[in-house]
Amino acid sequence: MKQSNLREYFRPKTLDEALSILNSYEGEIKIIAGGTDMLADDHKEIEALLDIDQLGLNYIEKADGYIRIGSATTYTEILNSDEIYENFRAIWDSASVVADKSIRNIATIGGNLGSAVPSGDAIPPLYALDATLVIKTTTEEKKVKPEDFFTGPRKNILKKGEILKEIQIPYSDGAFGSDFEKIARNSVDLATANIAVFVKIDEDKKISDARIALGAVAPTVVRADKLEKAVIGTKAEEEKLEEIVKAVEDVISPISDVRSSADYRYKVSRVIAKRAIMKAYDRAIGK
Amino acid sequence: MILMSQKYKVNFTVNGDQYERYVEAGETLASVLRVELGLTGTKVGCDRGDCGACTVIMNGKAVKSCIIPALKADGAEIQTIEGVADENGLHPIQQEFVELAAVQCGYCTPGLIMASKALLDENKNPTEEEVREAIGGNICRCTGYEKPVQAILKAAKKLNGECL
Amino acid sequence: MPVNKYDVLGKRLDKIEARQKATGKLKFTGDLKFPGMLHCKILRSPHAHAIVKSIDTSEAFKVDGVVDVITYEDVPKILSMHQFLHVPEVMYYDSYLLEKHVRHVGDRVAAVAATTEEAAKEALKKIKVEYEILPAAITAEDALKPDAAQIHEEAKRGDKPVELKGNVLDTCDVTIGDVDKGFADADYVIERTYRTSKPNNGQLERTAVVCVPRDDGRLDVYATSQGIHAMRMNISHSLGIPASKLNCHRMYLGGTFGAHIHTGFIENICAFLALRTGRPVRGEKTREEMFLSCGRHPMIVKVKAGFTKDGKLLALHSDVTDDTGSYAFSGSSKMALTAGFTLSMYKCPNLRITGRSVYTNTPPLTAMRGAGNPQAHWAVENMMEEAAEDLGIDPIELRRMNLLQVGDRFFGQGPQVISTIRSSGNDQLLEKGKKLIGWDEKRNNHIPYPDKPWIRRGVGMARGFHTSGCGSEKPNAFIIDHSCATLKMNEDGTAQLMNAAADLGAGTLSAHASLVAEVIGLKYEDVIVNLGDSDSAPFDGPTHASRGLYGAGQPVVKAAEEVKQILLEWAARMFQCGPEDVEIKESKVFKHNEPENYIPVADVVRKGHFSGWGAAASTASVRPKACPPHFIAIFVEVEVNTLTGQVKVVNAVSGVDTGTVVNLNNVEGQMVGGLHMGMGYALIEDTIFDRKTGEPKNASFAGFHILTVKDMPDPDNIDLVIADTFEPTGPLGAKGIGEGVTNPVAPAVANAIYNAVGVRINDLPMTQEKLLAKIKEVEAKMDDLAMTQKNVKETVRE
Ligand SMILES: Cc1cc2nc3c(=O)[nH]c(=O)nc-3n(C[C@H](O)[C@H](O)[C@H](O)COP(=O)(O)OP(=O)(O)OC[C@H]3O[C@@H](n4cnc5c(N)ncnc54)[C@H](O)[C@@H]3O)c2cc1C
Repeated sequence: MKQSNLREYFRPKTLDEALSILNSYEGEIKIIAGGTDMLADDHKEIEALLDIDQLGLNYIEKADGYIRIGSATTYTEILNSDEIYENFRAIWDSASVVADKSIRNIATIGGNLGSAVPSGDAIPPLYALDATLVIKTTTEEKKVKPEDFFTGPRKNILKKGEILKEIQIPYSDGAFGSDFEKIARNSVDLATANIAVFVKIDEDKKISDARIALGAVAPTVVRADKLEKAVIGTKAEEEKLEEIVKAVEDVISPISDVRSSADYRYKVSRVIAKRAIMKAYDRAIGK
Repeated sequence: MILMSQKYKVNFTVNGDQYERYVEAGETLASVLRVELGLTGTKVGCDRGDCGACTVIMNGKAVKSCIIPALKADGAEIQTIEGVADENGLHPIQQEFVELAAVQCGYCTPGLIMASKALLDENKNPTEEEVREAIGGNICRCTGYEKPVQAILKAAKKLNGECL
Repeated sequence: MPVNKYDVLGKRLDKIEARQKATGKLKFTGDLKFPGMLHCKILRSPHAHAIVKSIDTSEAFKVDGVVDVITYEDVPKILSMHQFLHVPEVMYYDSYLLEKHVRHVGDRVAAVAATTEEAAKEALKKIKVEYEILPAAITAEDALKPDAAQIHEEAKRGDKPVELKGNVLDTCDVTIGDVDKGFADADYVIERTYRTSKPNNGQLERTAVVCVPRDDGRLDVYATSQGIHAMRMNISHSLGIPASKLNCHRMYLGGTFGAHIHTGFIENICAFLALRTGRPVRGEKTREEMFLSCGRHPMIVKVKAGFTKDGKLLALHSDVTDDTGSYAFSGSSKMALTAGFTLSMYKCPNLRITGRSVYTNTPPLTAMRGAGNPQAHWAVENMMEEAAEDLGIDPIELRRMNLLQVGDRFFGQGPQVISTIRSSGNDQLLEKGKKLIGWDEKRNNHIPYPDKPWIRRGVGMARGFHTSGCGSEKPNAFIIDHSCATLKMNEDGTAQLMNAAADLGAGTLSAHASLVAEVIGLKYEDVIVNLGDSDSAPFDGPTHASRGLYGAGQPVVKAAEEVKQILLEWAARMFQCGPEDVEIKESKVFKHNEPENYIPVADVVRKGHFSGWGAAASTASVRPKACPPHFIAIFVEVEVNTLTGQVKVVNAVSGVDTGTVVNLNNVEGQMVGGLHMGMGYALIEDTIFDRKTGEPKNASFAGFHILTVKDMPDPDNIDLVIADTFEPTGPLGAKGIGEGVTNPVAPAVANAIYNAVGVRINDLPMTQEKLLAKIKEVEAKMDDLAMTQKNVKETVRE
């Protein structure tokens, strides 16, 4: 949709240049990556856009003990990465159900974090996979955990003059698996509820570590710490989980909107929690 | 008074032709194609990326041109529905859309054809699942998608030289 | 598949405009551009119900590029209607081009014409309006409350003022037979209340119009309209100008599904602005504006039915509360239609309909594929299924034994339009559908994946019909149903059709071309259909009620027969034989059994025209005297996830009785398309407005979802059945198809869900959320039951 009050459009070639434009621009300036959130409405308050698609921020690179995903990496690029499919399956799964293919060709993972909507599909996997977000300012590179990045619905800590540069996710050793699940009204809807689960297992095939994050059921994505503790030591047995997953209700505080009532979100959060834990576990044991 | 906003120069190729145009910062690719270049084959059904009627191919990928800033297309290579048929006639996808009546009202047709062309350009032998994925963002209110899916699969076979 | 005795009909033929559409060359209304064209934008009310106390446009006029700004003070003081399907005497006149009293969020307050769209938008921001906000009634129930605010203070029906007390604009109460006795005699009586939702037509092309002043002082109107003559009458009335001042052009339409039977005001406003400014004026709604100006009527349908213990229907009473939105685009008629259709689903001796149509402070609703009939089907086909279960009769059997048969009369379009059934493929459809879906194997087999017992499958069906057009045996004083066509031969042997029916995307004009080719004996490619305009095409009502082929096709056949007769006579002169001795095939004329010795049709036309024998041309005019039902039977198999309430339609059979198939491609397209739209109605489609403020909550395709390709069953899992029938009143035996194909889909899905999980949702749509709640309720009851049984057992043991 046309941005009716937009006066200026910058499309710099380097990160430094981008940061300096952001800092020096006097009016209301916003970053644009894929633009799929930005251009879905007419943002009358915005006077300038800074396009980050030429900064070389679309990369998926192995580093020492972790993977680096550039913030301007598109979902299509993520889906083309075997590295992500093999090691960070929850991210791959979430990328595969975001919007539709034509959107995924241009929409970025960083944009999902920038928009910070509680239903953002790329977000729960970052909690579950223990990601670190790297924010670049003119003077420094800050590292924050997702827990500290999101502050409310459509709110994050990014200030003017800051660019989310990349996402770093540690590789796991041993046997592990992850999964992402989403409930929506149809194939292109935003999530009514979503979840990402990461588990590690020990030699006895018992869960030794778990990270579980739910989306669209609270002002920000939330970790289900009680549930994480409860699954440790289990083999994700269905009957056991049935009872254990009730623990998600302690951490979620869903609202009712056109997509769903709070009550429905409560009910399905448990269902997808169970489903995702079992799938992540199956992947961990190589099933 | 409307403040005249600054105009920016963009260069891109559309269907092989090089264009240079001056556009406003907030303009979308869809509107430049339709209004500036008169290429009205690209339709706008929702103007917010939901319906896919405006799908074009940019740098080899299907995108929804109503949510692409025109300035993002600077330097890009763009294909629209007007560039799909060549001097030899209709592209096999178009041919099949016509023959199987995958065209009903025709308003979503250009978008469907561009989304599926992007698929067949990179994957000559798609599964039905891949076809569905490729047009998953294109709403059609008339056909129920059956004929479009059949047309795309049949076109793929044709492109592969399979006799039908 | 029916045996085909035709040369052209029944085949798969390319639509005449398909290539233009597939190459992006075809110009839709919104693609048109004229020199000096202005852009119109409408200032819309942010309030659901308010009076404009003051309005100041002076700042708006100062915006660069603004040429004109109008408010209610400037528009003609002519109370107007928004359609022209019905005869003027029964139409509701209840609005002005722009209103002082605004009645829904999005209602029209002022309009701007400017040199650019941006300038027009900018000007809207500069219009200062002071509103006095009134209490609003968003639902029919609220609007019917005794203390509800009065939404309209004046309205006329024809030229008679309507006495509006409260928000009811019309009521109906018709009885046939003795309903009380029928119920008294019944062994079994069922009474249920069903509610339907408010889906949006959601056609991809947005309403668009360009009005272009002509040198002769008249106005060319290019609009997304389902009828050029209806549009012309409509604008001429609301502007108070003679019809002949307007020339409405026929455009190909990007869908519409009923939305453009009505004008969306923007057409009339642009016409008014074009006349005022003397410049072309273009208007196009945004998608949000589309959501604020059309949609299917939500209804509360109460059905009471009495059966004998053997399943014979004895009495049926249907009570309809219709929410028409803020203006009576078609309120009164939709009420009557739903009521009439409800009673026409089955044979029943004692019938009563009661109903009321109610104004609410929500966007005006229109027709949407089925015109009141999806609502009727929702009620009746859910009810039949429950009755079958209670009576212990197979649901298909219960339907079969109560079918209306050839020779029976029914209400085609409300109680005024009575027609007799002359063809019926019902039995074929039921039999084949049952087989194809695997009814007998699947009805009692619910667990497809033993390792996932929470996924349950079920099969269900529903049947029904829609009328083909609105023709009644005797002329009726309700709805316009009359068509004309002019056909002429060109000197190269092509035939050229000039008529006014709209092609909504279904291939209506191609079907007309097929009829011409078949009747005369021409090649399909040799028929040209002029898009034309109201200046050159003879009168036709709008294309609605599935009448594009059945109704508008009749004069096409008649004109073709007349032209053929001329050609035969001329050819006979050339062959020096009698006209009965020659025939035409594939655009060649020859004596019977001597095809090799032919004269091209072109030569015959030339000879006739150049020798002064006359002109090979004819204008025919027909009032269809029936509105034959095209019968439909839908079977579906669903998978219900009992943990999430999610429903997947995995198999479907769509069966139609459409009479002669004119173009197989187009028939199949309607069938699957209708299934798709019906599935959306069943499962997710609804527009939601805040119950207090009337604000739209999902006025976009991001909030209001249309099923995507990924939500549909695999194409291989959709079976299509076409009954072998011939409609004696139809053009070469054809009937309609467009609306029937959606009508029974939602109840078929409902019945399949019931078969899968034993749960019934009476309020559309059957969202995953409603289903899950109901499933849990039933499970809890089962648990309770199990508990009680356990307790009972334990007590017994003690
Ligand atoms: C039809 C459709 C369907 C959709 N479906 C889904 C869905 O199923 N699930 C889902 O989660 N989302 C969905 N979305 C939303 C959207 O596509 C995603 O949120 C996407 O990830 C946004 O990425 P983008 O690059 O397009 O963001 P942009 O629109 O470019 O930016 C979004 C926001 O992030 C900020 N931003 C972007 N990059 C950075 C950066 N590097 N540093 C700082 N700030 C930044 C921008 O300033 C802006 O505020 C859908 C959108 C559409 C149009």
